[in-house]
Amino acid sequence: MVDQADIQAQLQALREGYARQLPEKLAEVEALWQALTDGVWAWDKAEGLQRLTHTLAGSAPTFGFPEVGQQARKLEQRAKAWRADSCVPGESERRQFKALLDDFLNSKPSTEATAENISLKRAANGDSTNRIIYLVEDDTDLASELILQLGQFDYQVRQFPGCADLDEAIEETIPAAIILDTRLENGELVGATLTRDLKARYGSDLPIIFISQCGDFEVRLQAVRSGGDAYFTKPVEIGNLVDTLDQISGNRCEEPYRVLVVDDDASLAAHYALILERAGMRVTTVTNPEEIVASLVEVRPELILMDVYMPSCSGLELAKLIRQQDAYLSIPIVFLSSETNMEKQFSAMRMGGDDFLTKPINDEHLISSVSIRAGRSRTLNALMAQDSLTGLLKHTKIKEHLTAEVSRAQRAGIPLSFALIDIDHFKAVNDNYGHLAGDRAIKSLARLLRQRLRQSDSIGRYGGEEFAVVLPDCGLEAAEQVLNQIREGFANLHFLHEDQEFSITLSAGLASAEQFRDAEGVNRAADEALYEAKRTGRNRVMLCQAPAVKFPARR
Amino acid sequence: MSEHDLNRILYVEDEPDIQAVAQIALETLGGFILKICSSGKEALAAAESFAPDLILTDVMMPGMDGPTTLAELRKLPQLANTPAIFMTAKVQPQEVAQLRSLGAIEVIAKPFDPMTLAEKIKDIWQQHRG
Repeated sequence: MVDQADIQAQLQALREGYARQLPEKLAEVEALWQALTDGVWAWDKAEGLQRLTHTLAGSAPTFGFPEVGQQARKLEQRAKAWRADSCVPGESERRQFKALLDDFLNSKPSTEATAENISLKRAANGDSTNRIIYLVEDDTDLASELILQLGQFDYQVRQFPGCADLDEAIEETIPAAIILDTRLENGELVGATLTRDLKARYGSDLPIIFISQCGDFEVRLQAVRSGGDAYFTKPVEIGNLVDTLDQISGNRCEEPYRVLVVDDDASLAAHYALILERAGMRVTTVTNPEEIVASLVEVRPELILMDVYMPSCSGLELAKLIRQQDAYLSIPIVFLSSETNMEKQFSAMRMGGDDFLTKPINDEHLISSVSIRAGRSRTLNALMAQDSLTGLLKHTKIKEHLTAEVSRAQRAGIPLSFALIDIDHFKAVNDNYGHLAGDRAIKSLARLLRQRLRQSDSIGRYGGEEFAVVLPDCGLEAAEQVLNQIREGFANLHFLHEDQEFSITLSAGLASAEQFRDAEGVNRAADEALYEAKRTGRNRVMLCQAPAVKFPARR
Repeated sequence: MSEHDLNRILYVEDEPDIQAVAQIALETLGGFILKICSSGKEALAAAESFAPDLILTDVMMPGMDGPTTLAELRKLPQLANTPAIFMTAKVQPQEVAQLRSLGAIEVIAKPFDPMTLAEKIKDIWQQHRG
């Protein structure tokens, strides 16, 4: 039997190795072009250039660098055309090539995935959750319906007409869950023996969900007794089923805590950062207190770890300054100092500190103090920031994310896309099928967005039936592709209302941070694009009109 | 068509990175016996003794390209009828058609997904036989 985790690890190692070599490969392309243009045109070098770019075009996307691949492809096509026509490129062609080459060199490898390789990454990443479902269902129509619907939520469903081959399949691959269509036969629950047997062997590692025509107490009780984890009566409301599957199958991996370390001593700051990073947190260090305000906006720290004594201003003053801004009232501030005097420690807390750690501090102690507080801060913030219906970010929060991510992207010179999404004819859904159906549609879209987008993307409910999505490190083209997948996925969902089936579509407007000066510009452009999508017929994704001036990345 | 199951694949690819991924995809995941050759020349030298069930070759390689490699392999009596699959980053339909006309049963687009490559090749094999 093949060890999946082992393969994932091997693939990951290859990917990392490739990432390390990539800068060298880019430099090689640049050097070849340099050599070509510096002296007499040499066709063997041109061939080398074509071959190198061709290789990169083929290999980079495999290893998670689709943008490098795309840019390499453009270069390759040019080089190929010269060779095909045996025509040494002239001045203007060379200029064009150089521009493409610059784009290519700037398509710097990033560790985040973009649209094209999300599925690959999901497959190739060790932390990918198991999304295989075994469905025991003899009704072919219902089975294909469930396969289709669960497929929209990225579950791969394998159907079994009966319990017969199930054992063998489980031996081969353990699914995330088994869905078992059941009924009473001679007072016995169909599949109960199998369930008991599987539960004895796999315990909670193999969740089993019953679906049944019958909602009687007796049947439900037998299902519980056999060890079933959930029970749904037909017709199965797909949203609830997916909720349950998500819950039992996917421990969504938590994002690392964002910690801001403020210490005027750069080496100490780096030291603390290293300890916390080793514990899996994402740490930003600030050695000049003046920079703290900018960092707050950009890093959105969940905890600030701060030295008390700094030359230009004290940690206490800084804490007060932070607390004077409403948005940062809830960030825990933990002081680090060699001060052992309790009285002084309390006075620090009065200034707005939450905890006082005494130097020297051992690593374990530091890690637990920070992670406990950061964890609590995250929970509270989530409650404050989340929309209650969907669990997505509220309007103000998603706008904060957009502002932070736009400035980060522009400074780092990486792409960022922003989308506004609106459910089409939502009022008609409410009018025809009732508000509960409308709420279900909103929840389904929220769930779909969460499932199709990356952990690093921010998703918000912008208003009634409007959603906003921030996609860092994702170019327009990739974003358009992802959104179109979501659009199609949403259109394929079937909603039920009193045995009446209906489906709904959505429209989206997309803008990229490269084209606009600030978050507001990006937001407005996405809004205009959304309006355009609505105006031209709905059920579509529109890109914003590019402004005349392209704003280069700030360095 | 082919009488037997697919076991032995002669794989021609010049890029070591891609070789490594394909090796995991085809050997570890797919359970195939794989002979990796870094050039058409190497493939020609190894082909007869390896006796592949299937030839899998990159299209664009330095020196001898994929189509030439296939043409040369076909001259060996033992490989005259061995099914072949091209792998290429070019996926324009007319190019695919052209590659097929050179005697390939299928063209697989790069980048490929290492997790599904073996399945894909098995599918192609089944279809080819059926």
